[in-house]
Amino acid sequence: MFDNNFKSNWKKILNYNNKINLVESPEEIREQVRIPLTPIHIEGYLLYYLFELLYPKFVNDQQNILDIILSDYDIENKVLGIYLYKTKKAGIHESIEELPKDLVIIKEKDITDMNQLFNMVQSHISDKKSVKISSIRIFTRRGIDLINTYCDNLEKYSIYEFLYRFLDLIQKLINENLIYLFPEPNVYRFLKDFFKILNNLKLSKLFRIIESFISSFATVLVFYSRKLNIITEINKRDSKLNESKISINLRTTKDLDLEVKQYLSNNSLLLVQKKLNSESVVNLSQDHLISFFLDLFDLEIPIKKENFKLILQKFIYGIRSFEIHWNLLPRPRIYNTLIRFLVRLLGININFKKLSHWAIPDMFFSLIDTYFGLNSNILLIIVNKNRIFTKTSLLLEIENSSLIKIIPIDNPEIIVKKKVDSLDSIRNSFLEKFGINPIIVKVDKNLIQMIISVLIFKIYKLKPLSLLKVLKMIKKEEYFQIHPILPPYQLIRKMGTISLLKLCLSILIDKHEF
Amino acid sequence: MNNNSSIAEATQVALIKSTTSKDAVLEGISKLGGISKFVKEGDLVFIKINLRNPGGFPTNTNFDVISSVISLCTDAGAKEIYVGSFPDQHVKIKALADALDLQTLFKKCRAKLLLLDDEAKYSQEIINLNNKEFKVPSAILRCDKIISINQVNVDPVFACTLNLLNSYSIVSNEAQQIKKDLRVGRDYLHLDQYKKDLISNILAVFMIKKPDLVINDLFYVLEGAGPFNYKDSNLKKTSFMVIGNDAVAVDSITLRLLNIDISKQDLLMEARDKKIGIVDLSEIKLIGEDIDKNKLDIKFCASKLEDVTVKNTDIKKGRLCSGCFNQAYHLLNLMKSKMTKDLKYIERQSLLIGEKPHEPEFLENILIFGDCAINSTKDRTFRKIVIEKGKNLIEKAKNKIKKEKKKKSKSKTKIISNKQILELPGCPPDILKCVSSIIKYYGKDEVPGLNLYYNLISTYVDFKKIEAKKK
Ligand code: SF4
Repeated sequence: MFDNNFKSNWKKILNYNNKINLVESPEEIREQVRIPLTPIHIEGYLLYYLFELLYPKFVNDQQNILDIILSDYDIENKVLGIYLYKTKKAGIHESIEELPKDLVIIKEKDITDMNQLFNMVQSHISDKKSVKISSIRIFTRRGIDLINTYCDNLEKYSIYEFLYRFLDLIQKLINENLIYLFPEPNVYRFLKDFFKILNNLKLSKLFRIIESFISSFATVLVFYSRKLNIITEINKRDSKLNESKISINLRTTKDLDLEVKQYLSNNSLLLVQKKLNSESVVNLSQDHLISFFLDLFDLEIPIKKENFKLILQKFIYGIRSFEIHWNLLPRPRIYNTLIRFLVRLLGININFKKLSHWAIPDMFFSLIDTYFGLNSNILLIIVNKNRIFTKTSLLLEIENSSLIKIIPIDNPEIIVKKKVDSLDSIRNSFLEKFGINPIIVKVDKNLIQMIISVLIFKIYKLKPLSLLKVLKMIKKEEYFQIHPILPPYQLIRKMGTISLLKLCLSILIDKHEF
Repeated sequence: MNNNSSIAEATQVALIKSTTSKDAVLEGISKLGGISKFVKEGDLVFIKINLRNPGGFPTNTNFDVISSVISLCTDAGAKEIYVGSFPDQHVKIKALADALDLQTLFKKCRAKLLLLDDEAKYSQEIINLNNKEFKVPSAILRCDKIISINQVNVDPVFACTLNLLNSYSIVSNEAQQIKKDLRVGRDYLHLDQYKKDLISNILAVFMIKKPDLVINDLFYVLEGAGPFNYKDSNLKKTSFMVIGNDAVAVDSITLRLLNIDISKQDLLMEARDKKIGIVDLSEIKLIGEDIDKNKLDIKFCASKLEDVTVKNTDIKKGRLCSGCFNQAYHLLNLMKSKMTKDLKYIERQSLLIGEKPHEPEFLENILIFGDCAINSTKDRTFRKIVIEKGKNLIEKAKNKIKKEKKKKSKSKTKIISNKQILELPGCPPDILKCVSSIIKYYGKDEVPGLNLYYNLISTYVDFKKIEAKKK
């Protein structure tokens, strides 16, 4: 039922996984496969490793999986196909067996109770095949058609094209109930609820907006673990055309003939940097990343304030543990003790290793709660030199400090035709048209680009002066504006840049060095 | 027919549950006979709202509800619609209105925000009540109809912010303050004379100009800690609105809906005794939802100060009245919400409140809150500390090097006053003055969170004026 391209790649993966169990050093079997549903080719062993690592953690940690394909129209028996994967290791698909489609009968009403359906299917398979399945994945025929259309010419897509089409596919499959998983993995539930918040906003649209804020960069991410280091080269080059050029390359240290023995050591990273001739190398722990994402997907959506604070704390703690849990080359100048000492003489304390992860989320929410309110509507307008940059503005609906809806506003009557420097008139039109009195936040694309570049992609170049430059931009109306002029924004405008920086740093950084 | 039953006939309260606050208010007014029952063509209407400070929802009245009522009044043919209130202490209406852009917002709805504290623009009439002069803006007194829209949140003194409290802010915050008035033979603290005087003033001011239409907005209620957004606050959606023509009756239904024992609510009991309004359910015609089937489960404010747990802070309490209780409650919640980082730096502090509070456990960072606490601890031992006198460290070191045997000399000690005490005077103390004193005492670097808060308030409060007054 799946298209031939998808099927042949999938069979190749199954064969590879099957072979791997028979040899002593599996990484020696060199065979390129494609990551399913992507145009990215990698070594079979790397894909095997990724499945072995991620599937049990994020999808299901038990053996034996059953895929069922259902008709969209039949009512009496919807089953169009049944496929059994007997897995020795959770997540490692190595053989597929097509079962007679009348082995189980699934009626329309059965799908409403997945728990019961699963028990019924499990007992049938156990009786007839003497295999205990641990999970079922149900694909509807329409879902398969959608995947097949998506897979058409997949290999010819650029990474950019693939990414936004992939996001659309996932959103559609989940939103329109074209696939079901049982037991329902947290990541699936998380996405399902997250898409509800997004309303009609396409994830791909969001991706395009966010992507446009990132200027060109070339970096290498080394995901380290005791078992296998994964090297991911990511390059992004802006192009004059609509889409930017992105390339992603996944390899292992072995593929590059690199011996990385000491994780996080600058020498190891230097080797990678030299070999791949990259601007920067970031070294991240696989375990820590997985643990962060497991915590994230565990959250209920809308995310409650207290839970959000906890996940933010973990994230900030991650950032602060530079050279403990992660590393970056070239070493950011801002970590240089002499520079920090000299800057501190001026009363400015910048030490990212002392980020107050324990206090920042609390202070942030306290500020938002006090001045934006526990319920609010925030209209986010992105501009480029006072002209609308994205056709879509976003209305964020907040209830009891939780983001409950993101509504795309594509209404040119309200935003595009109005002068963006007159936020007051935009608010009035909003009030007239929707009866909503939003807090308008106008941000210039260049400011966002600057922040992302300074604090993420070019952080190794970060100087205290760059922070001052960012703050100076924030103080200017053409780059950042809040309407009405709430006290936090008034303070930003009123205070001198250096005093503002000192005030912010006193909140962000721990006072004590030890 | 006796007097009460004639009131009862006229006392209607609508208890409405709806999907949006706008719908709830429209449905409620329509169930009470429509806006024309309250506002006639050509009327001057004053809408009294909560306008406390430039905080986000639900610090002030929900704008959706205000705009719905304004448009109903416009439809009813009101000649002019004014909106206003006196804000919290030290906050100027102009600064608050600018921060929230209220003037243009109300103009858009064809109403006018009155800057009531601008005495040059709005004349005030002096009214004598309870031996006290109250200045009431003539603009309010001149109005034909008063509509009071009140956001209901939990409150440390009155359980929740009632409509009667909303009416109190038709006079300035300064006028609202209670001066300690000791009466011979009466124990001010034991009798909680502060609260009694406050209630008496609230009811007196309420009687100056009773509202014609009263709305208690409980669509969202701030529970846990309130009535401002604090760390322990939670916004509960109840979807209810209580509307009527008698503020006392509306408050009484509101309290019942919140499952509060009315007989313990001094304000309403006093209103009933003074025959200001109807409290008894039997005398109120309830329209809409069944109150018994819809009791709400709300988490109220901590009833004891010790229950507001603030990190590294030890509370020592003596006898106190509602004045200090209320202010200390807010100060503690402010510390909890704004001083996350600061309290870790401070390591420990004691807060002494009320008359004859218990002795603090440590001698450092003792904050003495309120005149009662300050005056009753003047001769306490913690005010003095004993230090060894004149011990020269160099001399000590020399002796050690020489390994001289310790001479059995009498160690000299000196008693000096403990400098690690901060007195926060007032009866009760003013919170903003406390904030600025605490920052001065600890130093900006030690309290970055409170310093940020101070800077934020400075955008709408003139601290220099407060300092000058203090001096
Ligand atoms: S100082 Fe406080 S406790 Fe004492 S009378 Fe005044 S308000 Fe009441």
